[in-house]
Amino acid sequence: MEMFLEMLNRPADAFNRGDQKLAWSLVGISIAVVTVFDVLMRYLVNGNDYPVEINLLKLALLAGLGVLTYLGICGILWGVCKLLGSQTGIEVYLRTWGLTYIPTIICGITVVLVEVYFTLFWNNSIWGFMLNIVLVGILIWKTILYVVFLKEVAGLDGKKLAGAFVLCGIGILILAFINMIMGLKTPIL
Amino acid sequence: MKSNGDDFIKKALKSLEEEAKPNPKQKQIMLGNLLSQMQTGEGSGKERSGLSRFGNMVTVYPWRFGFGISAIQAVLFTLMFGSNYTNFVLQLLGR
Repeated sequence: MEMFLEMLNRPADAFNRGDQKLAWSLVGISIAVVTVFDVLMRYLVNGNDYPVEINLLKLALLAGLGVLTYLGICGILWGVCKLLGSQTGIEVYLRTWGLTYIPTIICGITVVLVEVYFTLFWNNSIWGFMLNIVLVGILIWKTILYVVFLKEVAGLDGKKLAGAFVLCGIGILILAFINMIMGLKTPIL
Repeated sequence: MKSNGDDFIKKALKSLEEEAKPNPKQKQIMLGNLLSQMQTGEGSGKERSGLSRFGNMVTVYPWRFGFGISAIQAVLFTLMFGSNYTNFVLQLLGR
């Protein structure tokens, strides 16, 4: 719990500590949210109105895609940062990037709830307003973690940091697009 | 008997002391941070710059900054565009 709070409130310290167990747990929870939780909520809430198909093979494939996405983003971060002079090894990225997944989990849960209760939220100013704050806030939060990660873990600064931000950002957008096409509504990034 | 007890306590304290020492990787990170602070003038008796203070405010409790800015933009744009804006964000990020 202490490590979790550290990641929540002082991400730079958490990155330096690099708790692999917490990082991979967060990745696992993110994947579970966008696969199992999504289907479960649709089945429980909408199951009476129309048949909700539970395809275990598809869920396993999506979970596998989630793991591949994690490996992919770590590879992109490592490759780009290495090109820009970072000395950090790929194993450090693999055991640290997952620490940035707290906003991803919250985003995943929010997206599932928005989709399941869409009629409740659509055209409702108050709910729309609240969700707007949550979703945009998550986006800003994740971006801050991304920058802190490049600074603390990859050890980049100044122009190199800006370059890595843009190049890795392009990689992130491509992976997010692939995730969306394949059916992961919240990218495992 | 007493000296055995003292030895045990001494050993325990020594092992605690050893544990508390930073490992080579942590030393490297600490050195990097110190060098970076020296370059930016932090910790050398100079006042921390406004930019540095802002950076610290953003990176410590990043969720607070994220949701704070988000709340401001939500209020501003919802006042300007009404539910068209909230629907647009919902469609873009939530579905």
